[in-house]
Amino acid sequence: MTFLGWLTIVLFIVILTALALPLGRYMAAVYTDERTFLDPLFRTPERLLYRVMRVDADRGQDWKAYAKSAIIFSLAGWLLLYLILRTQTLWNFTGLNPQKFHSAPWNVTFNTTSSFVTNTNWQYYGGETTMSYFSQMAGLTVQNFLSAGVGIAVAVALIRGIVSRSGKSLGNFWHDLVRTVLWVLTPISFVIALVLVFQGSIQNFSHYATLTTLTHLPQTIAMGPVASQEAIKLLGTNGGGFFNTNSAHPFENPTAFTNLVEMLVVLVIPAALVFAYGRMAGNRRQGYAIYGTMAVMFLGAVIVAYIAEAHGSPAQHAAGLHTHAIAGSAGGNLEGKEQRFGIAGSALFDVVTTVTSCGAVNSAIESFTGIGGAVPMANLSASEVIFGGVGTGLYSILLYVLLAVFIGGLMVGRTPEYLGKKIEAREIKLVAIGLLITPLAALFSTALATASSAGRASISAVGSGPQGFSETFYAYLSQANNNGSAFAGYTGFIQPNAGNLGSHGVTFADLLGGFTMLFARFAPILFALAVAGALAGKRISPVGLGTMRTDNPTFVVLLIGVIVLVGALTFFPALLLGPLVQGLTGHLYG
Amino acid sequence: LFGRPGAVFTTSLYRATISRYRLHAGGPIIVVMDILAVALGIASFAILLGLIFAIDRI
Repeated sequence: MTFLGWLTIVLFIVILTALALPLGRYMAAVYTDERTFLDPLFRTPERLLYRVMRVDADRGQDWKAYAKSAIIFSLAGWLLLYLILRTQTLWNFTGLNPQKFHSAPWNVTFNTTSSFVTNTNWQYYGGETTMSYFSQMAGLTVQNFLSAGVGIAVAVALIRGIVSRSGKSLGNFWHDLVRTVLWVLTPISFVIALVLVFQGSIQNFSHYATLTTLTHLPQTIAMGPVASQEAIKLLGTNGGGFFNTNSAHPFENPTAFTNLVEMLVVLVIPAALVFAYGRMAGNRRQGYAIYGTMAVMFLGAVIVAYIAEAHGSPAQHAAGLHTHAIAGSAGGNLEGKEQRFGIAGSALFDVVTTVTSCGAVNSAIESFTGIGGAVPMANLSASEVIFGGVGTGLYSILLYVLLAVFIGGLMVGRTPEYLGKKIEAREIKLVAIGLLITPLAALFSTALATASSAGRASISAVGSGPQGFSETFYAYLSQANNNGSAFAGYTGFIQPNAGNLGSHGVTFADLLGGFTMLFARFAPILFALAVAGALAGKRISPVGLGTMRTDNPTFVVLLIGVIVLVGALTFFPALLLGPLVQGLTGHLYG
Repeated sequence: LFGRPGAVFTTSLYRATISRYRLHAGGPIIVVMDILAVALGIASFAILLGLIFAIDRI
C-alpha cells in the first residue's frame, strides 16, 4: 500500500460527492419539469420525438401502464438489436464494416441482445473480432443509452410513488425516458467522449492497421469509434467494452487521468439520483442518509480490495515473491493489472464497476487474490444497492429502505411508516419478492450450470475446483445483477478466427445467461413499480413523536445491517465454496 | 447443440465440434435457429407482461 494509493481513494470520494450534488439538483429539475439551461437545446427535439412515437407525454400512467410501456419498449429494442446483429453483413454498404465481419451465431446473439437491452453488457464476444462499427454504433451504443434511460425512468417513477400526495399516477414513461436521454445522458456523454479523445482514445472509421513490432513481427491494431461508445458505456453503467479487454485497453482508457475520470463517470449518476431523490421528496436529509449508507459500504469494499491486492496472495508469499512497493512498481499482486493504473487504480476501478451494474474492467478479476476476488462477488451479492446501476441502484435501495422501516417498526412495536406513508402487508410482500428475484436467479442458474455437464463445458479451468466454481458463480451472479463483469474463463462462444466465420456458441450458457438477465432485470422492475403504485395512492400521515426517523445515523446503521444480513444469508455458502477457499490456502488453483 | 466435449479451446477441438454438430454461423442468413431465438425473446417478454397482472393480484 502506498500513500498515493490511499490519497487516490480519498480524493475520489470527495470529487464524486462534489460532482453529484449539483447534478442531483439538475436531475431533480429535469424530472419535475422545472427550467434548466439545456431547455432551449432539447425542447424541440423532445416534442418531435413525442410526435414520432405518437404518445401523449402529459398523460399520467398508473404503475401497470408505466410497466407495460417499459416492457414493450424493451421488447422492441430487443427485436431491433437482434436484427441488426444478425444481419451484420447486410449493412456493409454503409462502409461501417471495414473488416467484413460476419454475424455472430444465433445463440451468442440471443445472449448479447438480452445483455445490452438489460443494461448488463455481458460479453461472450470480443468487440474487435466480432462486431462491425455499424453494430457497435447503431446497435449496442443505442441500447447503452436506452437501457440506462429505462432504469432511471423506473427510479423516478418509484420516487413519485413514494412522495405523491394524491392519485395513482407515477408520471409518464415516455416523458421520463426522453428527458433522461436528451437532458442527462447525451450532453454528459458528449463531454466525456471529448475528454477521452483529448487523452488519446480513438474515434474513427478506419480499417484496422497492421504494424511491425520491435521484434519485426506484424501486429494488427483494431480501430473504430471508441470514445463515443466508451463515454456512454461508463455513464450508463453499461460496461460493454468496444474491445475485448475493456477499459484495460489503451484506446479505451489511455491514462491514469482517464482512469479517474472513468470511475467518476460510472458513479456520478447513481450518486446524483440519491440527492435528486432527497430534493424531490422535499427532505434532502433522506437523500443524505441513503448516500451515507452507500458511501460507507463502498469505502468498506474499497479498503478490503486495496489491502488484499497490495498484500498479494498466499501463493505468492509461499513462492517467496516480494510484494512490497518499490520505485517503478506498485508492488502487491500485479498479475492481470495494468502498471499505469497500479494496485489502487485497479482495486478502486474494480469496486466502482461491481457495486454498480457497470461491469467494466481495467484489470483481470480472475487474477485478483482470493479475498480481493471475493470483494466484487460480495458487491454483486448486495444486489446493486451500493450506488448500483443508473436508476437500478436507487430503486433497489429504496426497496431495502422500506424493508428496514418495516423491521425497525416491528422492533419498536409501531406501525411502519416511510415519509408519512404506512407500510402495510401488501407493500412488504412486493418488496420481499422483488428483492429475492435477483439472488434466486443467480443461485438457480449457478446450480443448474455447475450440476450439468452442459454448464460445466463453459468453464475454462481444467477440473472442478474452487476456481471453476468461482467462474460459474460469478458468471451468473454478474448476469443476474445486470453487471456484466466476468471472472474470465467462463465462455459461451467458440471463435477461433476473427470475423465469426465458422464460429459457434455454447447454447446452454448463451440461453441460460440470456434468460437470467431478462428476468433478473425486468421482474424486479415490475415489483418496484408495483410498490410505487401501492404507495402512490396512500394518504400522508403527519410526523409525530412516534414516527421512526429515516434520515439519521441510527437508520443508516439499521439499513446497512439489513443489506449485509440479506446478502450474507443468501450468498455466504456460495462465496465460501469459491473465493474464500482460495483466500485461505496457499494452493494455486488452475 | 448443448455443450461440447472438453474445456480446452484449441483449433482441433473447434474443428471436431463443428464437424460433430455441423454448425456454421456465416452470413446474415435468417435460419430456423433465428426464428427460435426471436420466439424465445418474445416469449420472455410476454411472460413479463403477464407478470404485471399476476403482481396486481398480490
